[in-house]
Amino acid sequence: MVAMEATPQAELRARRSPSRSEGQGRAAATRARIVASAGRCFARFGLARTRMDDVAAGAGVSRALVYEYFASKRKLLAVVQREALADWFAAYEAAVADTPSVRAALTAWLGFCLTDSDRHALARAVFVGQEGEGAGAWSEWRIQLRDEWLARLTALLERGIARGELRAGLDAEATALALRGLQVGVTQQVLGDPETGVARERQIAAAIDLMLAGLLPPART
Amino acid sequence: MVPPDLQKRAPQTREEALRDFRTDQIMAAARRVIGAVGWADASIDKIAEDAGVARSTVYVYFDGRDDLLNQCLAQNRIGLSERVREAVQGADGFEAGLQAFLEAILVYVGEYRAFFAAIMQVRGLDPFFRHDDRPATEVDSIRVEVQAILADLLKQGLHEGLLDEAAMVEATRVMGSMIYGSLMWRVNDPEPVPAADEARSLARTLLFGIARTG
Repeated sequence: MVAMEATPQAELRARRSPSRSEGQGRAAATRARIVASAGRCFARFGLARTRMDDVAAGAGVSRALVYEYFASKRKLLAVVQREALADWFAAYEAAVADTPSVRAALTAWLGFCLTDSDRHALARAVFVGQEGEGAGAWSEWRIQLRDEWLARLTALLERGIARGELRAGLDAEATALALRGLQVGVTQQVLGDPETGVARERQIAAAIDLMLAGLLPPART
Repeated sequence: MVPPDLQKRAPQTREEALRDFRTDQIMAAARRVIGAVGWADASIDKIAEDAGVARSTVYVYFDGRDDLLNQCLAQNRIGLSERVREAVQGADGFEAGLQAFLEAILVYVGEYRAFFAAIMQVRGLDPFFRHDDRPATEVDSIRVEVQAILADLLKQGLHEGLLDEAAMVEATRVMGSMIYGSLMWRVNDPEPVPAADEARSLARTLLFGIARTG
């Protein structure tokens, strides 16, 4: 889902023929720098307290140039959110693409959430947003994130059921909800409470063991 | 003749009742304002206006913004733990208990959705948020309280011979994560699935896992 409203003419031209000149490549690079800087600013200050001056300073460009690419702060936020979402799921696809099992895929998923610290700031920017501020657009974005996340988990579980790795009677859709909670929670725990003294790998392994085997002994399952 | 201890107590009780009423009124306003504008912008002025009291009245009952938030959270901690303990006591057996435990938490937090969303955002219960200006420590006591109830519940599972004692420490940690993660989603989701359904999914996944064989 790529919307065009925030893309300036210069870059649209650059997209049509990316190698035509250095100037067009520079335009795309500038745009990327602005988006990255905005991501850091939203993460740090939130939407309301982020000023276009900060975004410009962080990108090493003038405020006027930022406005040439993005008409408003809200449009810039929409682009940051959209690109973060695309980046997030691209990383997921890459992480699980060649995994042989559901266990490996879940481990890879948790792994990329936890190990790529560049993504933390971006993810935070994505989640920052207060109800009072453009709740409409925000909710639309959040619904998209929720639906894509659950769809991927459900597909992963269905694949596991089809291969006989997971229980045949498993309700994939309902279980996806539980797994999502666990993924987010473990991510929070590892990023939020680094002082627990339990190694990251052990926490991930324990979470995945529990997901796979549950608490009850095999006789009960 | 009125006994001397009642003579003494009566006016104090009226005062306390008034105090309770006022503090409840102000705390309800604080939750609304924090939920609407976020913690950073929830000024005492806005809260007083929402509560329909003077700014100075807020300071009669609270030491300031942090104290007000901590008392809100303390009240929620008591409310949540009463609700959850009651739900667990009414359930028959470990599995039903676990489901009731989860559902009670999801429902209770859902009743204060916007407030908890704002607090989780600042405080860092949300995985991606680690702000330096942490507003309160009472959030931690909510977590501790909920974990204590969960520990009792797990003891019941051990007692029923369902659980393996060696796995309990990790299991408790992982379950805590799962609850936080689910809450973080729910408070931000404009249309969350029914709490009972989510509680059932969580309980079943926790108990039975997803693998074909244990």
